[in-house]
Amino acid sequence: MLFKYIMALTFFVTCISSSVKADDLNIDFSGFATLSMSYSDDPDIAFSSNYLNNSEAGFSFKRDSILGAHVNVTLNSDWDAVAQVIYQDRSSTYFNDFLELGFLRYRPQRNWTVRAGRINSDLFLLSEYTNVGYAYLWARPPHAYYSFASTVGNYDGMDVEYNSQINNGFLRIKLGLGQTTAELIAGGEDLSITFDDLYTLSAVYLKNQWTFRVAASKSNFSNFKSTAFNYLMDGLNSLDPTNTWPQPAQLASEFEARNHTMNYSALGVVYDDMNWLIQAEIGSVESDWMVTPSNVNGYISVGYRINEVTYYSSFSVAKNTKDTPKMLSSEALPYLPEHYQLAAEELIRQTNYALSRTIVDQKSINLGANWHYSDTLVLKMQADHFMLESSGGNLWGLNSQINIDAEHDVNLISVNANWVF
Amino acid sequence: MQLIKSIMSLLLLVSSYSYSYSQDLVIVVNKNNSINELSKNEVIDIYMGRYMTFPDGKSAKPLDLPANSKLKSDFYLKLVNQSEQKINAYWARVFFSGRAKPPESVESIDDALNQLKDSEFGIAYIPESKLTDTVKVVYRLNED
Repeated sequence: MLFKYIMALTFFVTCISSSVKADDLNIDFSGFATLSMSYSDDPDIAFSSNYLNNSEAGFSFKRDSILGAHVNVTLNSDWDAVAQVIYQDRSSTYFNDFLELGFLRYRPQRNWTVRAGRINSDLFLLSEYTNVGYAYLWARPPHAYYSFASTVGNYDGMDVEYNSQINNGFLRIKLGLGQTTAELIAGGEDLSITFDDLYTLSAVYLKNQWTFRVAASKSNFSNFKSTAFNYLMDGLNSLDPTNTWPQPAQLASEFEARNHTMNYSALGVVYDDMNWLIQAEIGSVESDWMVTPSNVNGYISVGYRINEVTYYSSFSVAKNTKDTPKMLSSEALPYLPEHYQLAAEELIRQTNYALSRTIVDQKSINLGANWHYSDTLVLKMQADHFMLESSGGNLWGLNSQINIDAEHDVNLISVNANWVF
Repeated sequence: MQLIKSIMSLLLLVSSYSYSYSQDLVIVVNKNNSINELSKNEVIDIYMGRYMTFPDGKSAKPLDLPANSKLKSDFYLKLVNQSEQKINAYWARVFFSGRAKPPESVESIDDALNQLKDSEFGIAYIPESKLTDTVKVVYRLNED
């Protein structure tokens, strides 16, 4: 709510500012689009580019296709506003979840910038342009890394940025705060999670062909909505009539989002010259909430340009860093009525399935080519091979009939056309 | 044999012309601009959208020569060692992040000079041979 007031106040101040002159006012409309066709070869394991999108197996035109509209309103040399709306096959269909950017910006001095509204989180190398396929090398941002990133790609709040030349390089430091609610699909379930009191700090240093990035954030979880988890928690809370089996209630409380926090830290480096584009990022999630366990994820990508085509290959990995608990049966269970035993055993099975679906443990490699066809069109072809370890398919939609304890290999072929206009 | 010599001479002439042409790029501003000199990093800051102003805090309006022209290609190669296609991808990143707008593209060197003549905020790159008394040089790309 605080940020709505900030937005309203900033807008009001801007509107009445006497320094806004008609000559300064300038409005630019532009857009971007990706038309994608891809094929995933395992009918039981559905792929989605990130947590926000629907997942599909087999052929799909929707996995990575996207349409974006962008408007920049320059009010004067100090003030401007940016709005960006995208359309993509997301789990949420509310307009609010398609508004990627909507901020007012004030540049009080050459080195300082303040933004308020819906802003990009700036925690990742691609966080400012994740949806603009033309702007990056691959058919989609590295899956193991940017699936997590998608949950806090933007937030409602404000940030302050400081820029400076240091040692013949360019340093940018940004501090932001706000909140965001992610409507997402994780482990095949529709979920809604609010990240409250989200603080972000990032620093980028550019020198010659190099970019170095470090970022950290902290947030509290709240307002967790999930039909499946609600049923599970209700069941767990009602499962201990003998008061001798504490684990169900304990698990139910650990599924609750309240009083849990997440710390995120990330490092990124890019080398980008005439022909080479080498890029790597590593991120670490530290979370004490059982629904989003701690994990580490990262990737490295190497591209080499020959004339208009850049050939590339990437390796990415994501893995939980702590063991996932298992729900155990009670010693008292055989002595309870049979119908109770059956219900309890089913609840234990469902709970252990839900716990397994929070696990991410995957590696992937890809090969691809990016053809700079024209100044406004890039064509891409990419082949991915994903290796999902036992119970490691959190980023995927799994058929409930398959054995999630088994390892799975999935191949994905993608052909994309990316425009800017 | 004579034909080969003639072709060789012509190729040499063309390559030396293009070499000297590319070596002569200068960064110019309106002669009334208070800035008299820029460093290479300061030119990069303005042309890559890192700063919206000259070092003295006044607005900067960078101008780009036509897309796919040799001069534009030479300019970015010398300035940041990047091809034009990489520059295009760079600007897609910067622009759609809402961070900055790319330099305004002009139709020709004369067009750039005309715009500089009318605006003290403008900055452009031109061959030194095209200098006029309405602009002043603030950086020479062959200085480093």
